Amino acid sequence: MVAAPTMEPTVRVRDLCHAFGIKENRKRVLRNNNLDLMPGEIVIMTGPSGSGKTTLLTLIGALRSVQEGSVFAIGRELRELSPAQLVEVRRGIGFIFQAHNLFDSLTAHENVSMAVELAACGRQERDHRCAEILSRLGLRERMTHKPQALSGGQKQRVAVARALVNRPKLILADEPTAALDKDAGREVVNVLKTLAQEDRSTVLIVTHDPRILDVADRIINMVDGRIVSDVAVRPTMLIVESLQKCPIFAQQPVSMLAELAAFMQCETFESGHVIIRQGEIGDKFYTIESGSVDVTAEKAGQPLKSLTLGPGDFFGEVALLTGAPRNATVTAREQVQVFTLAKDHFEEALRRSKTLEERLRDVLLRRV
Amino acid sequence: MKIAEKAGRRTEARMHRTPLAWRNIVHNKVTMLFSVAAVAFAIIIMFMELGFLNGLYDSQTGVIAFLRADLVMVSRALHIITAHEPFPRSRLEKVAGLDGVSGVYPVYLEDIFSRLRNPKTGIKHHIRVIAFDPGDPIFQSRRINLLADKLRSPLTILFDDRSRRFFGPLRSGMKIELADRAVTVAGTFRLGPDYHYDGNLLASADTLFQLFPNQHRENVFLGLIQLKGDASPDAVVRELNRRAGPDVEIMKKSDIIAREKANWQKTTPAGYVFTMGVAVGFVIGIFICYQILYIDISDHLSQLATLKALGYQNRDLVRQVLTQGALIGVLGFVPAVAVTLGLYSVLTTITGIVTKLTFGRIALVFVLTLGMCLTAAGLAVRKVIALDPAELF
Repeated sequence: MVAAPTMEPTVRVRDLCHAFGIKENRKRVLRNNNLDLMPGEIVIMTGPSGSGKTTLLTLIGALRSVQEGSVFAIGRELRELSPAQLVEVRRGIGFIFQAHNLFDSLTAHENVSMAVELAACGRQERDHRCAEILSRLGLRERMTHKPQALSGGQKQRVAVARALVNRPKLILADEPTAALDKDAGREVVNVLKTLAQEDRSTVLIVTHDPRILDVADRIINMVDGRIVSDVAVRPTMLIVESLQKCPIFAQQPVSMLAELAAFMQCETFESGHVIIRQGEIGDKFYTIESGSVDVTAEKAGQPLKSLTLGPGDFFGEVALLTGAPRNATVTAREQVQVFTLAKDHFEEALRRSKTLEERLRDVLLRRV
Repeated sequence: MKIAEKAGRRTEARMHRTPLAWRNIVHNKVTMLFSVAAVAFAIIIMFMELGFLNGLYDSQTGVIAFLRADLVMVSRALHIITAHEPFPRSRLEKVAGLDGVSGVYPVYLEDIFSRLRNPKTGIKHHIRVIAFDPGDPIFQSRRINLLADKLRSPLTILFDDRSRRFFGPLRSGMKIELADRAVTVAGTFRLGPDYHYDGNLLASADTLFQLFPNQHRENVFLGLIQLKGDASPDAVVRELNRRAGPDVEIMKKSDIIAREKANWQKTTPAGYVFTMGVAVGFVIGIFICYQILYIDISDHLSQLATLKALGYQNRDLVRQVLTQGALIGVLGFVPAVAVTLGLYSVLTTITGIVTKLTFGRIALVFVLTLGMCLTAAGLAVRKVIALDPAELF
């Protein structure tokens, strides 16, 4: 979903830095981050633990005071606000946590009602709002049940209802599906998506759950306190699908592929274009999406070998693995579409996955 | 107008809040039972200690309350009623004709040579003998005033039914042995023992002098003074004190009761011991209530932090915890009163000392209970205030 350019973002983060601890123990967790979230957008934030995504989420959610840089959320600049004012801002934000955090002693209706009680409205209006949101979440028959009598998915939907009942313009969710099985997780995310779109709310979800990546319009990847990629989901999903066709990647978890995909560039070469020249320094790894290439190597002017690679094949890895110059020349036979991965990210991927490295060596062995 | 409307709606919203504090208490019935029992235990401790203390005060001043008088004359040397310190009868007669005085009545007391033999066991026990002139209307109870007529027969006594049991069951018409002389029980009345005396007898002054040669009509223990209807007690007290003589003192009945209580509190360890007992119960109650609330808060940390994330201010959550504390106190208070009533009646049966649960005393313990629970809630709520919703992520 692309927002009109004149629209004011729901969240605008500028030059945001954050650190914990004092003096010698001071640890920077966020470095110079910029981010815009537009109304109606669903954005997923991923990244290794400790990468600062939770800190970013809590800063946007007015749960922490801004130290350096600026955070503008739902119409307020948070930097200048006192702790009491931050509490006021939070009332306009819907929070969903990994655990449902419902009171066991209260019914579904009452748990949701706790959120409405902050708004000055009469009892009738309150009951109406609670009943409406619970119905929209498919919990009409469960309103008077206590959490004990609800399934995991139903409990999380009550928590979603609690977050959405005041129709917040911004919804922040932290691993909302982590405690749920596949179907329940799917159900919660779908419902979240539908409601957010109906109300044109902005949703930011921190998750490691690859099963829900497709609900997002954008995926943000954080590493080491910095947003390292911010990509629209559709291309990423295409890359993941393509990578899954590659023998060496097929066994890798989707989450890892999605992460890799975020770093991959799509490049197209016309027929006859020399993609890699023997003797050059290797800086990229290639997988073929469509088309085919010729691989030729020579020694002292004599051709050594020649082979043709097609969709799903890969090349360029030897120079990256050994650090030696390119050992062959690769030329496009026809129009070729490839995804490329820079050396740093390739090495990082190998470090993270033993099976990937083994498979790679396996394939290489057979090819030689 | 708009502000007023908004405020009105806010008040309405507050009135219909989800009763979270109550729900948290009643959610787990077993936990609730233990919590209520534990708090009730502390409240019962306070009730019992206060009961002992009040039992002491009530029983020590019981004899004065038992007698009918507007003013009481005692020796200036007397600091406490149990200290037997007589004064000359002439002092009482001197004030009899003064303005506002309608009657003066001497009361005599013997508690040293007055040993009563239990007719069954043969064992002798000290008993207090209160003597007066039959016909003097000196008792609050009309029945006893009438019954006192029987004491005109020589060597007859009235026996206090509430006396400790070791005097034996004495019924009207029985012959018993008092100070090695045979006397006849002419009837019974109810006053009750105290921490000093185990029992009481009523006798005519003549019988007293007959039984105890050390006693003399001139040595009065208490002078009861009754006033005319239109007399101002305070003015008469001032006038009588000026006229009666330097060795006696005249006080309003309520004042001498108050002085008696104060003396017991100050001059005996009992007052301190029981007051300390109430304090101990209070502190135990704080610990118990704190523990209950602390556990409940610890069980709901993520939920409470979620409320903070939703936009609840600290004061909203403080109110929540204080309400929960007060509710636990009230829930514990009800069974505590019931158990206390039972224990008081057991105590009364065993010791003969009447421990009364007046409205004022119930109110006092209720206030102490609330103080105890709110203090505990105040301590426990610090954990809630320190909660950081950012840590939920």
